Amino acid sequence: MTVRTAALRTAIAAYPAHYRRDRGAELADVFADTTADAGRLATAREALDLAAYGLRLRTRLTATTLGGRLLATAAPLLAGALLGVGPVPGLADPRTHTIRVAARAGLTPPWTDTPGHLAVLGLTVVPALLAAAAALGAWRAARVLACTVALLGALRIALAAADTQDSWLLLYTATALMPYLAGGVLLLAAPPDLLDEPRRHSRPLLVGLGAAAGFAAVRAQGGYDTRYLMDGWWPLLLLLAPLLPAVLCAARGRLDAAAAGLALLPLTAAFSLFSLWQQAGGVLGLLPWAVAVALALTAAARLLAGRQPSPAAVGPLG
Amino acid sequence: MTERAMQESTLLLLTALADAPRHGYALIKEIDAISGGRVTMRTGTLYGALDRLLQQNLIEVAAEEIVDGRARRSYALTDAGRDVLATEAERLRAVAAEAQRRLGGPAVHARRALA
Repeated sequence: MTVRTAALRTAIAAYPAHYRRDRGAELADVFADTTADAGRLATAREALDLAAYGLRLRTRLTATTLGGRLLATAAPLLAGALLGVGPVPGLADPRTHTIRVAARAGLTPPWTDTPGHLAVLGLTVVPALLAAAAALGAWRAARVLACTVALLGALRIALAAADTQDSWLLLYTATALMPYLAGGVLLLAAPPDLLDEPRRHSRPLLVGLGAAAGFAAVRAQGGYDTRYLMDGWWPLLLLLAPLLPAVLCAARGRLDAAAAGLALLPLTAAFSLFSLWQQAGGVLGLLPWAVAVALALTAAARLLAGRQPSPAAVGPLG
Repeated sequence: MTERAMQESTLLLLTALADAPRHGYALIKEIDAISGGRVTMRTGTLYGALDRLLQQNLIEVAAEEIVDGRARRSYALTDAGRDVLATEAERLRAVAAEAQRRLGGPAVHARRALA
């Protein structure tokens, strides 16, 4: 089997079965033609692009689906929200200490600490660049920066897993880094062909609003600080406040309100669940409540979607 | 529907179908030619755009056939797609005409004469 055939098979395998049956041969022929004289790199890029559309179809995140349109609507807010996650100097945020240590250490030995320091500094700078790119409508750059944010978040979680013996502390660290990982992935999942479209003039305003909302959401959670784990109804409120509009408004086809909820969800979901898990005394205590909320939301969304003639109606011209 | 400017990839795709129905690879080559080699549409991106335009009823499947043992599906503009493309072309023509007028207007000629 040649590299080209293997790449094609892998890419086609990413498509849902019904699409593969209907279009598989056609896609394979076009792929064969476009890569006939191509080198390995060009073939790999072609295969990646082919596989990416297959994954979009499989996850229903194309430009014509409700999920894809929702992510594209949320993208400027999400880019701003990721900027709001970062610590602000002078607000006694313990994360500023970590950044100061990383900045002082720079590239000095021990080298084993360097990736961690670079990841800390990267997550301080890259979200700002991402917000600027989104505000300017430079979505190709914004997608690369969103990917960088997600990778840096994943790297810090991996480094923490390698370093930390205490599983509670590891879970807490991963929870506090989850906004970067989830936010970056959600931005990457937005269909690129819709990102240029909506509300060109209000884009900087949306990024600014996202940053302000993100900052407020993270401050409400004490800057993801272990000393301020949330008690009482607070974590539930911070979980449901973005989750309810994200699901229920999306079911009604109200994308703007749903996008606002979706943009804040990565910032509050993980830490709220972590705090609730603490209060419930473990996964088993939390599970029945999580299942009940998921079932109630699904039922409500279906009910609301049923009243809509076509919530996933055809998207913008593009 | 055309209050917003159309994305370039959509414009190129509709333009490539304006004179005749075409299959996938022919569309990629045609887009490359129309854009002067500036836009290279990859297979996944092309089918994403085709699916979107099919759903928006701007294009349709014109023919499905087997040529030399290979599956060939040709796509064509619908009447709605033709209207949308014509409107966009007119909008671009008006902008280009205005740009030409301002570039070659009396003020410019006067400035050039003074220079």
